[in-house]
Amino acid sequence: MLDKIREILGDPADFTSETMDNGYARLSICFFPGMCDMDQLKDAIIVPFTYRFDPDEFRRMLQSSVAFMKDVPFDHVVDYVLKGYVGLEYEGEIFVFRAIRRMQTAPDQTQVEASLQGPQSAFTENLDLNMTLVRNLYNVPELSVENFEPENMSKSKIVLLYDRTKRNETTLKEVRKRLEALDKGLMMSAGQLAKQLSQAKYRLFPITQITERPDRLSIHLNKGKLAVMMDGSRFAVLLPVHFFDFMYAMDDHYEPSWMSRFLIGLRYVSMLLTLLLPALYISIVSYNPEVFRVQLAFTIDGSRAAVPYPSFIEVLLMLFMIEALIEASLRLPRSVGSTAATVGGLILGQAAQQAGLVSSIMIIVTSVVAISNFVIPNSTFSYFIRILKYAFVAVSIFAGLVGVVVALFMLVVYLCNMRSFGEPYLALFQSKAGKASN
Amino acid sequence: MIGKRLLSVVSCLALLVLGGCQLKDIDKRYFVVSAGFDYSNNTAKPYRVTLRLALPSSKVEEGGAMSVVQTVDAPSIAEAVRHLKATVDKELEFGHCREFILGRELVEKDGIDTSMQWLTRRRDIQSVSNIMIGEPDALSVVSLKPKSERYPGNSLFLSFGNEGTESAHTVTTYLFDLYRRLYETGLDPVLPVAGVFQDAYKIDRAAMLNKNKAKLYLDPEETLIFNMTSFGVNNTILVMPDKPINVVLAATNTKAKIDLKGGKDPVAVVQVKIEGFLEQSPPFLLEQDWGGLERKMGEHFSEQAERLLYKIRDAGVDPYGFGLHYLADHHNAKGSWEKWNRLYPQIRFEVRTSVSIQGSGLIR
Amino acid sequence: MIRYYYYHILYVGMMNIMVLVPYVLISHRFNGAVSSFPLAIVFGTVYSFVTSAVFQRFPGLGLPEIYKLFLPVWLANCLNLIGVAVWSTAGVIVLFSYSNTVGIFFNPEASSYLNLAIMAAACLWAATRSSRSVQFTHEILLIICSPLILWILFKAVFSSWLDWDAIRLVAGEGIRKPPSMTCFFAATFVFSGHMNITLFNRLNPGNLKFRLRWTIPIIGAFFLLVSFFVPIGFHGTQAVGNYLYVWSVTTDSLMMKYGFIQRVLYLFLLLYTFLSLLFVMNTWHTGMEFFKACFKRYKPLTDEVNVPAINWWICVVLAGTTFAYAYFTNDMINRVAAEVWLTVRFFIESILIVLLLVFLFMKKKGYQRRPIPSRTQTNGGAGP
Repeated sequence: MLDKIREILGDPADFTSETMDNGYARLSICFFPGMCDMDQLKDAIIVPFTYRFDPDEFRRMLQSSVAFMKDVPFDHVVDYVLKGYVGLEYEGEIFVFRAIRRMQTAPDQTQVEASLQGPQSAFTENLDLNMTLVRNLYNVPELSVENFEPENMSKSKIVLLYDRTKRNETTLKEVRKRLEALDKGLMMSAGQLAKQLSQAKYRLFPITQITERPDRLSIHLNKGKLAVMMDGSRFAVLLPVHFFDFMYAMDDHYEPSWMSRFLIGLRYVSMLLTLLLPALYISIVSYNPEVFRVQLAFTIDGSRAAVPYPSFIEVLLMLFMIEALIEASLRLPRSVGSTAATVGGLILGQAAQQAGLVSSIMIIVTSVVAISNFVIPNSTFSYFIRILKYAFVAVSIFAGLVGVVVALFMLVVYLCNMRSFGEPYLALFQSKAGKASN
Repeated sequence: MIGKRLLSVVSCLALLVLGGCQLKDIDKRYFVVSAGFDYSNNTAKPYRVTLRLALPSSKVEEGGAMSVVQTVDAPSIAEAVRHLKATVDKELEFGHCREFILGRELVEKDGIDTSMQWLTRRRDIQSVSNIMIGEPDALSVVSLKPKSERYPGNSLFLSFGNEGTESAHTVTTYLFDLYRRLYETGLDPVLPVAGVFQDAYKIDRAAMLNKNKAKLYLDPEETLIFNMTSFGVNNTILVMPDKPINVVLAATNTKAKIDLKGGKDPVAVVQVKIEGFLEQSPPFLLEQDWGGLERKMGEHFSEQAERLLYKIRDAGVDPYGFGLHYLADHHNAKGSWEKWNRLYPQIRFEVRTSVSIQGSGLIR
Repeated sequence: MIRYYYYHILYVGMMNIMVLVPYVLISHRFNGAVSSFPLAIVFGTVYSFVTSAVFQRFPGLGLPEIYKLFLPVWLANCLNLIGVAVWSTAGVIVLFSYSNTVGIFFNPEASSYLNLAIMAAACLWAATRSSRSVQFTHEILLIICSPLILWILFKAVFSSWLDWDAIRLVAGEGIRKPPSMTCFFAATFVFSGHMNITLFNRLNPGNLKFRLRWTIPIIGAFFLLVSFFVPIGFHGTQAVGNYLYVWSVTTDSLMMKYGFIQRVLYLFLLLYTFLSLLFVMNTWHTGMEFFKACFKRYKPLTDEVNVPAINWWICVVLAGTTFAYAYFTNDMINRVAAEVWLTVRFFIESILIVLLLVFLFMKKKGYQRRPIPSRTQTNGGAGP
């Protein structure tokens, strides 16, 4: 057995395959030492083999113990060994023993979705630990867990969670169908999984949500929706989602309700600002300066006096600079990070205005746009909004204020037309899922 | 699939490229902040149009407003404006122009009809623009550049409405109101008269017009009384002559209503309600006879108001709208307009003023 | 679910201002406009009650399906085509007049076809969506726009420059004259929101009970009176007849002293852009669905994900008609066309009401030609 396995694997240097002989029987063992937990291996196999060497006892242990899987077809043994299991051959029978090294034993700290008063634990990259976290919070027997083992190159375990009594049957069937039909390439993160579940490449808004928080997942399950978790990724995929779910930070459940309503309103206003403000600037400065009140018109006129090129070039220039700044600050090493941000933000803006390259109003507009973009709690959604505002800028260059309004109308129609796994994406006063009207 | 996507992208691009021809930046436009129409005594080119154009400045401070005044003569106002466009290097933008001054001569010789036609027909002139008569002519009023202005045109703009000063001597006439009064049966136009006085605007007189020409010019005290009885003003004074000093009431609130009482031989009644504090008075006057003082002040005001009303009636104009009120009461039945035209020159007026004194200030 | 019925009534009441109804009414203000109002309110309320009561008895069925239950196929298709004509021309007329109005105030130097092209493209795409998406769009846009529009209307009603004498004059004089038929036909348009149930009943579930129907005459009367009397109050009894774009100038006479936008006109026009696009989307969608119902191979779907290609073809034809209309007509002809349309619409509506009552009677007696089909299938389980 060992030779065949070694041949299939190409005899890698990090592979251990030994034949042990304790005087009474022979045990062939093969595993990847890096992926196995050596303590478990020692306690379960090596020690009994060495000290309780009676072949009957050892055979009884192998047959009766739950930890040893037998009757495994040979080609699957290689798959198991690659996952971190230990392959054994004893008296001609092949067993597989689970001794996967656990890299995390404690839940992670939240890094992407912060909350002031809520729990600070987040999912880890270990699926079993994640399931524990979920079961701790959603501790009812109605929680259903379904396994999916896709036939791709990463072979990571995928798990589908839902509440049996609250879920919507059509959505469930659809999701199961898509999980069975996953792509055959590498699957390394939940984001990729989400992209493949969504199945439409040119969509403007996400129909799944990615979260690292177990409490968010529990709230989602409680509403009758589904969640998909993947081994090796610390994010879970939530579906189906509505437009309004993206504006929800977890603090809205933990803070008093007036506070949370005010904050939700603030987020909607910020979303509108970041979407429309550059387009409005262009349409008002270049098409209809008489729309705003006279004092404002004079201020804008005065501040644009020194700028040599038309307004839309100015807008595109400043937007490019702020996008570059944001992207760069993601990748800068920690030591240089804050300096670069200060230089970019303060000095570039100030110097550009004094050199007469941009007007001071434009700087205010750009900073409002950048700040409002990050008020949106969900990062995927805010990426989409960032891209969408360029569409509005393009429309306002050619069609002015009327074009912006018509484009806003088209955006609303597009959102109302979207369906997230059968449920309407943007609809008010919808009945709860599971009580679908059909 | 690819074909559909390509088609939609191409059609979107085609749609966008159709437009874009009206893109003109704000710094390629001149904002017109006030316009004046005069009567030049040239029969070939009777209209003299003066425009005040704002120059952009990046410093916003008192006295930082810079502007340029351009004048041209032409056979009509529209032609004059087009002519002016040729003499300046940027596009003329009327969207923020809210002050229009008609020269006194124009109103007396030619009437306001031609100017009104141009003003109401254009789409970019706001219906809430202020119209006034310029004395001695519109050119002098438009050319004035007060040193205290922050934005060009700001000073004139703040004089009307309730934005800057709430002067009770200034009658505010909006464009839509003027147009309404030009055509209405039983309501005649009123215009404020603006003059220049020591580097500032003096707008304390009013002119009453019939449907085309000015008929009556009021002096400042009469304008005050007219404003109080027609529109109702806040923050004015009511003076009652007395010995040793006049009793002055700071009227914080004035409301007026017109009515026609009596069937066949109606009396035009104006009910005025004035509230205020005593600003100047001999000591202990108020507590001696509160009700009596109120009555005396009311009667004094009523007398003055009635004198003004008779003066207006004798000039043959009806800015209060008594005629419209009469027609509304009689449902515009056949012949009521002719009947009113016979009644109005002989009508009697009654002003009922009720003064309510809130107190005498801080001392007795 | 009954809230969708009221959304339609509300927004047609607001749209009233842009479909040239105030222009018709004001041109006849001394010839019997006011006396036609009570008549119009009564007729409109009765019509709304009849449609809501009848369609309540046929849950999940649109008008074409009801035709097919009781009438021979050729007659049903004829009536459907008449419906298509009436609905689509409404959209064409409104699209043209509104893009004209907006072009005049916002982009006067651009070609008049540019605004029309942009708005036609947006409406084209929106009308091809499924009925359920159209309904959702309605809800969202109305909830966003109505408070602002109602605020502008209230601001106008309570403004100190509104002359109640002028209003009293026209009201008092008008009520004593015999009603004018043109004004009566135009005034009933305020209540026409109830006609939308002919299509959107496909989405209504089985056990719908219409409540709060007594608010319909109140809403209709409010919009009718405001859209007629407020311009008269602002512009006087005589001058108001000189204006071509009555309501635009009326809102221009209001001022928001402390707002960002000082001319209320711009805010008003932007809000009405939303409403007009909504109206055209609605009418084109209805026309398209009625046209599709004439052919047996298009089953009535309400929630399809991928719309059939025929949707696009029909809407492209409608957009092309709008361009042709814009090419051959001018402002005057458009006003005449709107008046003619309002008249024709009233007669079609009355015939429809009579037909509906006949259908109800036939259903009670059981004179059905075909069995009632199962609930129109929706395809909304699987999303993209």
